[in-house]
Amino acid sequence: MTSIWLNQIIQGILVGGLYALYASGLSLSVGILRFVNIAHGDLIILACFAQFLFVVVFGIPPVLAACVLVVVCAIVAWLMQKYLLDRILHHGIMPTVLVTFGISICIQNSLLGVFDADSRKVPAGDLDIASVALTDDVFIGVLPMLIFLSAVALIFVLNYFLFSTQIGTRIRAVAENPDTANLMGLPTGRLYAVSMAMVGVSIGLTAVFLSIWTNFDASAGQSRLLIAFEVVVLGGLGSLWGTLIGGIILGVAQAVGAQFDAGWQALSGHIVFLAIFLVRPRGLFPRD
Amino acid sequence: MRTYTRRRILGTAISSVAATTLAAPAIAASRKIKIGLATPASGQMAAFHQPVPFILDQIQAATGGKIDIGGKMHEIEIVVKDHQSSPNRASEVAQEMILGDGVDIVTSFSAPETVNPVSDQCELNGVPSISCVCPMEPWFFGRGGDPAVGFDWTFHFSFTGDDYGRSIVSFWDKLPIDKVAGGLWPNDADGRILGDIWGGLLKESGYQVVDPGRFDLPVSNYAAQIAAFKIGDVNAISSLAPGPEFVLFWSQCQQQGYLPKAMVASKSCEFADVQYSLGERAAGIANPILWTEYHPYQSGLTGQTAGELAEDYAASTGRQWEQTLGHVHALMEITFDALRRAEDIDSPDSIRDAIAASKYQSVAGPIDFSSGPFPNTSKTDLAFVQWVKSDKFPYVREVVDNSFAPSVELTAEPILIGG
Repeated sequence: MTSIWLNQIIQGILVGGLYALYASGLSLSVGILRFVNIAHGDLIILACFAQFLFVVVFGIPPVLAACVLVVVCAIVAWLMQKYLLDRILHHGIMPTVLVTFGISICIQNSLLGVFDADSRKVPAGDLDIASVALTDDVFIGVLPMLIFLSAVALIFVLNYFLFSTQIGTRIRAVAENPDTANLMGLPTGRLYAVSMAMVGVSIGLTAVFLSIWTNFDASAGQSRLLIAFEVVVLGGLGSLWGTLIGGIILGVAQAVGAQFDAGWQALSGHIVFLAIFLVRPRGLFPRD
Repeated sequence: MRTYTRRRILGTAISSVAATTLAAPAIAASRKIKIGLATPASGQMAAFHQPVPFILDQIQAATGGKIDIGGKMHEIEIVVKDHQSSPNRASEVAQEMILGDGVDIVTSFSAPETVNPVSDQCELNGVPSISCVCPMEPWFFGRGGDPAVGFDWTFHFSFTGDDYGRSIVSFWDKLPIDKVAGGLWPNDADGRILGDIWGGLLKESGYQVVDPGRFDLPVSNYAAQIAAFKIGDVNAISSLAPGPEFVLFWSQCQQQGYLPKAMVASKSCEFADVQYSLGERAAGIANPILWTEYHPYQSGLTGQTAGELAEDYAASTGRQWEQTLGHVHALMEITFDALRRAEDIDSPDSIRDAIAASKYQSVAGPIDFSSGPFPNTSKTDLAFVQWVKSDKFPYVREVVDNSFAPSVELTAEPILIGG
């Protein structure tokens, strides 16, 4: 019986990795840039469809396609920031919410127009069902493990970039106080574009895994956005490692709750979120 | 520089409409008849909508956009509105059709979430309405229907949730499995109502039921449910999870070293695209279904048999048949038939009486709203199909049980998951 609980906790941790991966881009834009991106989920689904095109329609080998996708996403995000979002960023929070909401609607309906309502999945051979049996009751899926490790790696890289490089310091300076940063001669627009490109990298990587994890369709982007916001806020705004820890806490809370009763799955995640919020109103590892 | 203001554009539009109206010859003595169709062209239920453009094209070709009512030819227009799979929007488009377009009759289909608001609007505004595809109990009782009274304006042909559950039992009884069943029933309208009905039915039929509880969607981790099924040694599972959710459950089952011997995946594997995405793991998944290409009926509008309809659909779209192909086609058939029989086409009461008196043979079988089981409803066939590998499409559906569709012949023997 104990091994069943152990299995639940392990599965919860692994799912936490997926949550963190999904939320990492959001953590960067909301936490560091103070820029609420409602279209985050839809951008990920858009990238999933791009991966589907690369692998299924054009027949590019999946790993190569994944590399191309990450680069393409970074470029698209960079362009989006430079030519669209940069115009509204300095006019308070409402324009960004409205514009990204508009982008979200445009993406959903364009995808529906181009790809129909069919749900798609990128085939991955046996990768999505392969697993390692530790005991009779404890199994570690290969794909969930890969997703978890990628989340850790991505967060490590993003964290290094933001907190240990010169350009990272500049980005944080710009996010902290754009006017002063401008006075200091920092190229605000370019720095925002570079950070958005990093968000693009996280979107691309998330899409690579999400597209083989399960089916996606044009309307799938919004469904996991709530969890992503929860993870970012739980971890504390501005902390990328906090996002990973937040994802794991939510994943484990849901898995353990579900083992009591399947109906408790979503609820126990929210309860733990609220409980932590009562004790630490600014999240676990707030940074500013 | 010319600027386009809203007023200027509206002004141009109005004057051009006026011009075309004035230019029309004054021979149009008969009024144009309008049918409203509320459909989920986008949003989560968009899969239901796939065959609709094909069906409308076919009907246009077969009728030439005209209808003969009492010896007088009328032009007919089908006003198609997308309700985006949203209950609020469904209510709005029904109002738009009734109050704005002035339709003579409203039709709708898909799930209770969107069919019920459309039917409610028609009932409120006194406009005749026919709907289909959504299960009968949520449509009738979910709208506060009284079996002794019924409704004034709204009619529905479809299956009952009770039959659906019994057809699952009937299929499982045919298989060489232990009578231990599992329920993967989410916390939504279908999961709560049907899960309870089926759980009871299964127990009555001698099954032990492992029900881990209603869960909220979306779920990223099915380990708890899988552990419960594994410990309970569940042989057969019934799922009401939507497509992406079910695909995830199925992958995680295999990651956790577990597979049931029989899998009934409703709301997901009814659609070919979900089934294809399962790849090698798709064979043997089964579900009850409203309409198949094997139904021995013929369309009264186009003369096609069910098989021909499915073939023409495949030839024109490259897709295999879906249950809404037959049922939405039948919805249009019965609507045309009722309009033809209306004694006074300008009176909604007269159209309503014509619908109520329907005795019609459609491509989905006989439709008769006096037949029940509730007032204003007509029960249709519910065949049971299982996915098998094929050459024509990656996987196709074969009829493996016909307890609730006796006129549909069996086309294959049932198989277990994993052969």
